[in-house]
Amino acid sequence: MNIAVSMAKKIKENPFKSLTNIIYELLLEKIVSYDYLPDSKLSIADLSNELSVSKTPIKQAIAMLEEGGFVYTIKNKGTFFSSFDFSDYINFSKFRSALETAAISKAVSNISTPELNQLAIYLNDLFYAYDQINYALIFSSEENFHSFIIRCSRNQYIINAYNDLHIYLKRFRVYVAINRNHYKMTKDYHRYIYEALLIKDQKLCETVMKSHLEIGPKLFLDNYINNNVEMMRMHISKKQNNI
Amino acid sequence: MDLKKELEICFRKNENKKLSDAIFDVLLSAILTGDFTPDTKINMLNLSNIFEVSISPVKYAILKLNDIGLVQFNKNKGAFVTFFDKQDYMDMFYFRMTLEALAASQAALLMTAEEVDHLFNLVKKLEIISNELKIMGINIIPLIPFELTKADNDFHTYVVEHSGNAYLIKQYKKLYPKIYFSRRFITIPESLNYIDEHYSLAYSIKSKDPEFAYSTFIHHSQTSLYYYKKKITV
Repeated sequence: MNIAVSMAKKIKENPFKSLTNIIYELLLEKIVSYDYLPDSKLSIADLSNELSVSKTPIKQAIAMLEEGGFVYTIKNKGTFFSSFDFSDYINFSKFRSALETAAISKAVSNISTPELNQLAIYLNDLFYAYDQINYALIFSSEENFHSFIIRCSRNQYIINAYNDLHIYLKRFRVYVAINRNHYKMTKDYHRYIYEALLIKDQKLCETVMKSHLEIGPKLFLDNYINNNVEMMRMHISKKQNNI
Repeated sequence: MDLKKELEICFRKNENKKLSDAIFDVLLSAILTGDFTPDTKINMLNLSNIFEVSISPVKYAILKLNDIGLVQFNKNKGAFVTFFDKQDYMDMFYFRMTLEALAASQAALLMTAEEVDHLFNLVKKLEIISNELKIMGINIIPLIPFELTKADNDFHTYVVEHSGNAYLIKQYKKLYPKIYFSRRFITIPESLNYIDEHYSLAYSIKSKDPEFAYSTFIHHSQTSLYYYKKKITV
């Protein structure tokens, strides 16, 4: 979609949002969906022409992006989109797994029966999505499932940290999207998590959550790494050509 | 603490600093050193008189303090230094424990011999300060002395910063002022194993065994939590 069109749409959705924030969100969405390739240049002048806005909000949005590590600036050369590597993904996964394991071990004693029913509904959505092999649906329903457990921990610090991670979760999907074999296994893990919560077994919850979140990067590392990097390149370049 | 003087010192260190940022730094250190105790009201008009500046940079600094959770606004009453309730403290503690244990397990694999030596030096520093305080007889007081909190914090921050995990470090830095602040009221140095525990933490990092480092850090946190619970029930 043309970036100017999506900006107009965003302004329509919420006219009170500042232009800086809108541009920040737009750019972020484009970055995590690989519409901009890592290490390519970000031209402020081009962007301001394309969006027909002044340079100031764009510069402010870029400063916000830089804080999150999505772009970097080289003096006298300009701004570039950050690249990332597999070790970033490993660090991210470790942090995410520690966070969610901590969350579920709190959630298991907090979760109420209506909440368990709600979780069951999310689980059903997830199974439906996997059966349809609709990737967008799979990702959104997984997100619902996981963030619901995080919220059930009732710990504001964990919830805030998870919200911060959210955008990186989208970025690293490219690693997950390629592991098709891994999909069936992931589907079943969600059921195990739900069942462990149902019988209120804290140790089991922690173990299942931990292995669910760590198996992806491990599989990637052990079996497919060379193969998958090739596939990842193809995946991204295919996306670029479509546009 | 002479606030105006602190502001001048702040500008002497860095002349190009924004006024609101300098005021933020001064107020932050006033809160962390205990000059502003929890539940103190922060009067912007007074502060702007003391600093001899207009109200808006003061306001900006206080908004920034609100962002990191050290100041809270009570409707129709004004800004107050945050008072931790028990649940909030427990939540923070739990989150911190998760972060630090993961950091330790990663740092155990990454830290070089020199960095481990530095870690041991930090514990030694902690031991010296704690011994000095014991001689002076300030052992059981409600407010933990500033130097001790700082040494304790330096140790833990050093481990986190050497975990090599950017996501983790970012979250810890966000939490840092709050950890620092709460530690000042709650760390219990009179616990018998206070120094020994920190030595064993450093040893667990030296062992290069991530699992061992992980469990040692969890154990340390849980011991302090135990003392904290004991303290509030008594």
